[in-house]
Amino acid sequence: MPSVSMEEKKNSRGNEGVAIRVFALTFLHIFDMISLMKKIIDPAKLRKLAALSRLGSCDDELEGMVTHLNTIIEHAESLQAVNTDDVKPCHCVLEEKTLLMRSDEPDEPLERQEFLDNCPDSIGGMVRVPDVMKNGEGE
Amino acid sequence: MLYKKSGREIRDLFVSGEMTARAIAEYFIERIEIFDKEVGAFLTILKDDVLEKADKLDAKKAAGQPLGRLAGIPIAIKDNIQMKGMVTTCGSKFLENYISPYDAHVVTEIEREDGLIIGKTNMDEFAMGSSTEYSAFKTTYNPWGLDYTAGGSSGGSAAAVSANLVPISLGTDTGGSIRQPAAFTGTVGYKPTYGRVSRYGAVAFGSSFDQIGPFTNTVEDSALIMEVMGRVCQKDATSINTDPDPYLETMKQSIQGKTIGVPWEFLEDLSDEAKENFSKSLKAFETLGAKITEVKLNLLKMSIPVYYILSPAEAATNLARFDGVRYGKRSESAKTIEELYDLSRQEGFGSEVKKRIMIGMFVLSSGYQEAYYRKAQKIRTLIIQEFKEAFAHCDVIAMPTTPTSAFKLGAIRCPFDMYLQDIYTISANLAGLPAMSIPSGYCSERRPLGLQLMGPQRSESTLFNFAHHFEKEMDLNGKIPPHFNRERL
Amino acid sequence: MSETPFDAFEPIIGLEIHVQLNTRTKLFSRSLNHFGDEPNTNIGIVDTGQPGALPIINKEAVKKAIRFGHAIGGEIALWSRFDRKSYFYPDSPRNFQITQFDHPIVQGGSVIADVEGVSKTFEIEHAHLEDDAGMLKHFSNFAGVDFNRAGVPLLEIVSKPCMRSPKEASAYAQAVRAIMQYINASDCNMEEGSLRIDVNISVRPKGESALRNKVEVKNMNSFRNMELAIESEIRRQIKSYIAHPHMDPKEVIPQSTVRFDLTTLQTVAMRSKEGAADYCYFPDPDLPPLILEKEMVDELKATLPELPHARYERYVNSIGLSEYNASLLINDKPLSDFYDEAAKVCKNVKRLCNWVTVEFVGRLKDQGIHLASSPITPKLVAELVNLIEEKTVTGRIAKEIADIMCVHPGKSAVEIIAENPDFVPVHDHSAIEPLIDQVLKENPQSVEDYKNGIDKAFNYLVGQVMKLCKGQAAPSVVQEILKSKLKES
Repeated sequence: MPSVSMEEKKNSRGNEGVAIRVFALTFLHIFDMISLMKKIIDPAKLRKLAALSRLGSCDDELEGMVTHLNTIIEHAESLQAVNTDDVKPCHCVLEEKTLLMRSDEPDEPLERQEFLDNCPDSIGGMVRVPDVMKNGEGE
Repeated sequence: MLYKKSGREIRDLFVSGEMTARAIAEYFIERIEIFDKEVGAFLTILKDDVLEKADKLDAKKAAGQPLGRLAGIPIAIKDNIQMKGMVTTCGSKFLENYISPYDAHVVTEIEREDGLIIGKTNMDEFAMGSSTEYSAFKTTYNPWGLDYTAGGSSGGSAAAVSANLVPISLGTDTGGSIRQPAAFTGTVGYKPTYGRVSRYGAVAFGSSFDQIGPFTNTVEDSALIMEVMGRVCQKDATSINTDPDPYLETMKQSIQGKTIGVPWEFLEDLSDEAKENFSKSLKAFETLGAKITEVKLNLLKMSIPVYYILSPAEAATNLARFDGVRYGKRSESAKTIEELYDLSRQEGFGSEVKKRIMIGMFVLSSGYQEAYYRKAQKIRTLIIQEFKEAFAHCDVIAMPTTPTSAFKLGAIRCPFDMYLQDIYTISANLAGLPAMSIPSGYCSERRPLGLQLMGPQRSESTLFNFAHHFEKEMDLNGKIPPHFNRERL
Repeated sequence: MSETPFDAFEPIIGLEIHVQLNTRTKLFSRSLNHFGDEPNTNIGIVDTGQPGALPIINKEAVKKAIRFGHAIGGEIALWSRFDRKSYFYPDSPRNFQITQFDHPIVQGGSVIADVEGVSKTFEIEHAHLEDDAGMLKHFSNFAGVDFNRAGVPLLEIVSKPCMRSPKEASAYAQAVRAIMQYINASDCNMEEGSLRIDVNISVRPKGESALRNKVEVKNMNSFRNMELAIESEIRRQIKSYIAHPHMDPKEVIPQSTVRFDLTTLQTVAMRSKEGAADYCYFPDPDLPPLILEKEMVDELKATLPELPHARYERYVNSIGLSEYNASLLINDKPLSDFYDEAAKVCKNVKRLCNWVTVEFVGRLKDQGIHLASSPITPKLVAELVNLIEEKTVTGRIAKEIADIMCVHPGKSAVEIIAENPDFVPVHDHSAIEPLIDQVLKENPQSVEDYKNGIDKAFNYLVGQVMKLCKGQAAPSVVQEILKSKLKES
C-alpha cells in the first residue's frame, strides 16, 4: 500500500505529474489487493538474495529494499495475463543475427603491468587475495 | 561566437584555417571551466590530453595531410565509455580510480576522424537511473532550470550539449537514458538500432538493450557522428556487419506521402500541455506532407515490467565482475575472500544498483526464472512482433519522449515512480528499434519538451530524414538556455 | 536384520571430462592459449573481465568440437547457444562462466574401449564448449591469481552413467583421450591440466532400477588414482548403506562432493554445503545463437583421420597383433604413428611390434626419451628388423645393435655393422667347414644318435659348432653344412 498520499505527491511535482501518477497508481492499486496476501520478498529472502548477489548484509537498507523489490515483483504479475503459449523466447533482439566466428590469430594483448596497475593488491605478477573460500566453489 | 556553432560549423572553421585546433580546444576548455561549476556535467576534463591532440592535429593540417570528418570538433563522452589511460568511473565510487586499459570502438573511430575528446561526463551510477541523481560524485543541473534535473542516466552529456559546453557528446541508452535527457534539455538525442554502434568498450548494463548514441544541437551533427560511430566493428558479436548508410545525404529526401503512426490508446493519460505540444508536432508533419495514422500497440503497457525483469537480470551478471579482486575498490576491512566480495560491493555500490542486482538475481534464481525471466523473454518476442506489424502500416511511430518536462531535483523519491519516467522510451530498447528525441517546444515554465520518433530496425536513414525536416519546420533546435547564452558569467 | 554382502550392490559411474583444446588462441579472446608462461602474460581485456569487454568466438575451437562430435558418432547441433553460469570465485574474471547449458554443440555419441580384453561401448550424453577459469595458487596466508588459463577453450564431455567398474571408467577415459589426440584437438596432458576428470559415483542394490544419490570426486590427476578413488568411494558408499539399512538412502548418502586423499588413497567426505549452488543459468546476451552450416559440418567429417578404435581393429584383425599390444600402441598415438610408418618398409610387421614397443621403448625409457621424438627414425627400426628377417644378423646380435642405436641415436644398423664386422655372422663355407669337422670328430656318440633318428642330437651338434665359433657363424649355413656332412658319413 503506497504510503505517500495523492496530496503530497501533487505538491512535490506540480500539475504535469497528474498523468503519470494516475498511471502509476492504477497499476499499484490493482495489485494492492494481491500484495496484502502475497509478499514474495521478506527480510529473510532479501538476505538470501543479497548473499547470492554477494552484496553483504544490506541491513541498514533492508526495509526500503524489501518494499521496492516487492513493488516490482507485484507489477510483474501483470505479465501472467499475457498468453505466451508457443512463443519462443527472444534470443537476439537483432533480427536474423547469428554468431560470427573469428580466426585463431593472436592479437590485442593486455600488458601485465597495465593490468596490475589497476589491481588493488598484487605480488609476483599475480593478483593477491586472501586465501581460498571456505565453501570452495571452484570448478 | 564559437559556442553557438554546430560541430560541422566548427570543423569548417578549422579546415578553412580560420581557427586552429588548439584555439578551439582552449576556447571550450575555458567555457567548461567557467560554466560547468553551475551545470555539473563533467566528471573529468581531459585538458592536457586534448591540447596535446589539438597540437598534433594542427601539425597534421600544416603537413597537408587529409583531415578527418570530425576534425577539430570537441566531443564529450559519458563516463561509462572506456578511453585508454583515462579514469572511467561509471558514476560509481567502485571505479573512482580505475584507469581504462583500452579504447572503446567509438573512441577509436572518433579519434580516427580527428575528433577531440575533451572530457568525461556525469551519469547515474552504472547507468541505472533517470535523473543523474544516483551519481556517486555530483549532481548535474538542467541548463534550462538549474533546480531541475537534466534527466538520466546520461544527464551530464545532455547538459553539456544543452549549455553549449560542447557541440557533440555521447551517452548510452538502455531504457531511455539518451532520449529522456535530450527531451529535458532541449537537445537532439539519438538511440541507434540495437547493434548499429559497437558496444565494445561501453561498460555493460543491459547487454541486449544498451546502445551508445549522440547528443547534439542539430540533426546534421547527429547524422555526421553516427556515420562515424556506426562503422563496422569485429569486436562486438551483437553488432551489425555492414557500414552505415550516408545519413547526411539521405536525410534531405522529401517525406511527402510518408506515414507516421501514433499509438493513441497508449497516450490517453498525457497531461493537456503534453497533448497540445504533441498535436502541434503532428501538425508540423502534416504541413510537410506526411500522413498521420493510428497504430495499435497493445503490449506497450507491458514494457515496464518486461524491462525491469530482463535488464536487471543482465545487469546483475554484468556487474558481478565488480568484486574488488582485479580492479576497483577493495574494502580495507576484508580479511577473507567472502568479505572481500561482500564488503567491497556493499561499500562500492549505491542503493539503486544493489536493488537492481538483487531483482536480477531474483528473476534468474531457480524456482522463479520460468515465471519471471522466461515469461518476460517471451513477451519481448511478442512486443517485437507487434512493432513489426505496426510498421507495415507506417514509416515511423511518433510519441512524446516523456510524459512531462524535467522534474525538480529531489522530487521523485519513490524509485518506482522514477522507473515510470521511461514509459515512452523503454519499448524501443525492448524491440531494438532506433529512436530519436527532437526538441518540440516548451512547457508553460519554459522548460523543453521533446518529440520521439521510432523506426523499424536499421531505419536510421528514415529517422534522420523525418527529423531533418521537422527541425527545419519547427526551428527549435540550437536554442540556447538564456543563462548560458553568453561567453562570460 | 539380514547381512547384505558387498557384491549385492552395483556401482553406477559417470565421468565428466574437461579437455583443453589446443587452439592457438583462447575461446572468446585472441590471447595466446599456452601453458607454463609467467603469470598474467597471456591475458587480454576479456580474460581479465575488464568492463566493456565482449566475447568473440574462436572458429577453430568450434571446428575441433565438431570433429570430436563426428569421432564419437554424435549429433552436431546446427543450432546451439551459450549461457552464463554465475558463481563467485577469485579465478573467475567475470564471476560467471560462459558455457552451454541446455543447447550443447554435440548431442549423444559413444566410445568403444577395450576393457581387459572385452570391447565395450560407452554412451555419451553430450559435449559442450565453455571457457576455463584462471588459476589460484595457494601460499602461506594468501592466494595468487594467474589469468593465463582464464578463457582457454574447454570441451566438456559428459558420459551417461554407464560405467560399472573402475577399470571401465579408466578404459573409457583413455579412449576419449586417444580420440582427442588422434583428431588433434588436444594433447590431453593430465600433468599440465589439459585433461581433467570429475567422477560421479553412486551405488544401488542389484535389481533396483532407480538411481541413488551420486557423489562427485573432482579433478583426478591420473588414471590410476582415478581407479583407486572410485574403488574407495564405492566401498565407502556400500559400507554406509549396509550400516544404515533402515534409513532413507537419500540421507545415508547425500548428494555431495568428496576429496581423494593422496596419502591414505581414500575418499573423504567434505562438509556438505547447505543446499546446492544456484548457478542462475540464462542465455548470454553478448552471443547470438551459434548456427552452423551443414556443408561445413559435413566437410569436417570427411577430414577425420583413422580413429583409435578403427586402428585397434586393424592392428588386431588385419595385422594380427595381440590385444595387449594393440591397446598399448593406440593409447600412445606418437608411438602408433611411428609403428605405422616403420611398418610401411618392414618385412615382418609382427616382429616389428615387439622391437618398437619393447626393445626400443624399453631402452629409451631409462633415458626418459620417447621413441617418436628421438632421432631414431621409423625407417631405422624397420631396417634392423629387416636385417633379422634376412638372417643377416642374429636376434642376439640385433639386441646389441639396438643398444648402440640408442646410445648413438640416428645411427643406422648398417653403419653399426660396418663398424663391427663381427656382428655379421660368417657365411663363408670354407671358414665354417673345419669347425664342423672338428665337432663331428669330437662327438661321435651324437653322430651315432642322429643316425639312429634322434633329432635332438642335431641341435646339440649345431650348438657345439656355435659354441666353438662364439656364435659368429650364420646358423643357417651351419645347419646346411652339418646336414650334408652327416648325410655323407
